Amino acid sequence: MAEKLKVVGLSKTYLVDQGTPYAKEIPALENVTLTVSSGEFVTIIGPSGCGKSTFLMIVAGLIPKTTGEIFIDGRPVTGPGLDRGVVFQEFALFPWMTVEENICFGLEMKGIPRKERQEIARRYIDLVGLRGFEYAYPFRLSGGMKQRVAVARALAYEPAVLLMDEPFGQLDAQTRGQLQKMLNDIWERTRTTVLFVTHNIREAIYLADRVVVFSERPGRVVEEVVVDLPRPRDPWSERFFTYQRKVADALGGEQAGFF
Amino acid sequence: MVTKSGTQALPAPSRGRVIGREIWHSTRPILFVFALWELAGRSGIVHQALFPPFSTVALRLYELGQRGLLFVDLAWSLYRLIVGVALGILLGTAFGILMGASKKIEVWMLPILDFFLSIPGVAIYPVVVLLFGLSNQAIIVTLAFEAALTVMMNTWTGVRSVPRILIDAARSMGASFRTLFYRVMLPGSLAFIVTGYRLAFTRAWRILVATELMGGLGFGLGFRIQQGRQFFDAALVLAGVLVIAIIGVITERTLLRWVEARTVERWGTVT
Repeated sequence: MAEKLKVVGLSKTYLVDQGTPYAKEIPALENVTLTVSSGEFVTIIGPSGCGKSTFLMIVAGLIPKTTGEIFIDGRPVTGPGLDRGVVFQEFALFPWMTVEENICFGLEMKGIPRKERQEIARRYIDLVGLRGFEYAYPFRLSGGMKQRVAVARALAYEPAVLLMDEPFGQLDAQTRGQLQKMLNDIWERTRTTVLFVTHNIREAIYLADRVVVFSERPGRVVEEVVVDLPRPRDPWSERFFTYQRKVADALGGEQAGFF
Repeated sequence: MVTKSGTQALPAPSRGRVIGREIWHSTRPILFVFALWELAGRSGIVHQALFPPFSTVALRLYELGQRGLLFVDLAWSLYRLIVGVALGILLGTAFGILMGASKKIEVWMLPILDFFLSIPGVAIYPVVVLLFGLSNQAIIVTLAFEAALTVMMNTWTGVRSVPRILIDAARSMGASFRTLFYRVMLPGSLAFIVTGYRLAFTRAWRILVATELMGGLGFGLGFRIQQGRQFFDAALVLAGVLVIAIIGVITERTLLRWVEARTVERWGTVT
């Protein structure tokens, strides 16, 4: 399969308390190299504070990198752009736009004419199961519904890579499960290239073709687990548990709090 | 009425009744104050020529209205207020957003803004008069100055209150600075901006009356009060004060309410 996203030797060092005697450098990421094939679903998992979200935001072009290279379809990434769609943990919907207007925003940035924008938005509203809420403002929606809108917004302008930063982290267990299922369904239909950050092992295995395990800060890739299970995955199967154990062990196992 | 489930169903009052009750509740205490004023005026503690009762003042007000003078004064005062505040809003909003959007501009402007904000608007007036003379322009410039500072402060706070994540979301979709400005920063800070505008109006209103009291401009509510004092016409002084109070209350209660109802309240960004 063709390489869609390629990250080579990416490092990030934060400078804290600049201009004070306490100024110091904090390494967040160390020499991360990662390739995502076209149509592949990759999840990144790691302990809290390991820099996995930083990694994703650098790929999104929203945080500057210290060293390293990022390529999408062979073109170097220099800043944010429409070739990547980002879904944030905090939903990040514009409160002053309706559901439909939120989804149309990216399409507008892409230069799609108004009439077409609306048609596309409707299609994605249907896809995430929010028909009837086109004209609702975000504050009227529940957390799960908000994140459905955010997913639709990022998918609608058809980015080359979908970047998801712990998108279901703020949701309750059941809603989380529903959205995982929905994302799996959508992915099976669209085969979008996805890079998905999470700290939840079961979520990582349920969704991914490949799970990339990060170390504690500074984040490095310590292991890659290819998940060879038919979709949709049966989260109660023995093989699922075997994968779960494998990923947990790579993260440091029970002693590190993963059980 | 008792419903099937046993709960007491309350008769729903009509919308008109609800509004009527609200108006009654907010005017009742004022009417009480007027009644006290009437009693105090008639009691003879202070001579009626110095402190006439409410009824005398109301009558004087009616006379002024009949002669049309009241409306001429009102028109002049409102003209100065609206032009001054409008100028201030234009400048204040533009600079406030620039200050909120750019750290470099903020570092330079904030100390200057703090410095000027610590000067009462009325104290600026004599300086402006030196430049513009005792004129309409002098008052308008003073009001614009005060309004601009107030609006700038609020707008800056508003822009800074826009969540970083929303700016990131827009940037992730390739938004230019122009798009960020109009589609994210402006609507995101609207609640603060509108509050700033309202504050600008009330502050400017106070300064307007003060400057009119100082200058011999011929027309304006403040001027009329000053004239009343010079001619020992206590009823005229109090009538002027009454009009100023009424206009102040009305603008504060109604001004920009429709903007809020159509924007920030619909979006749920204010509670």
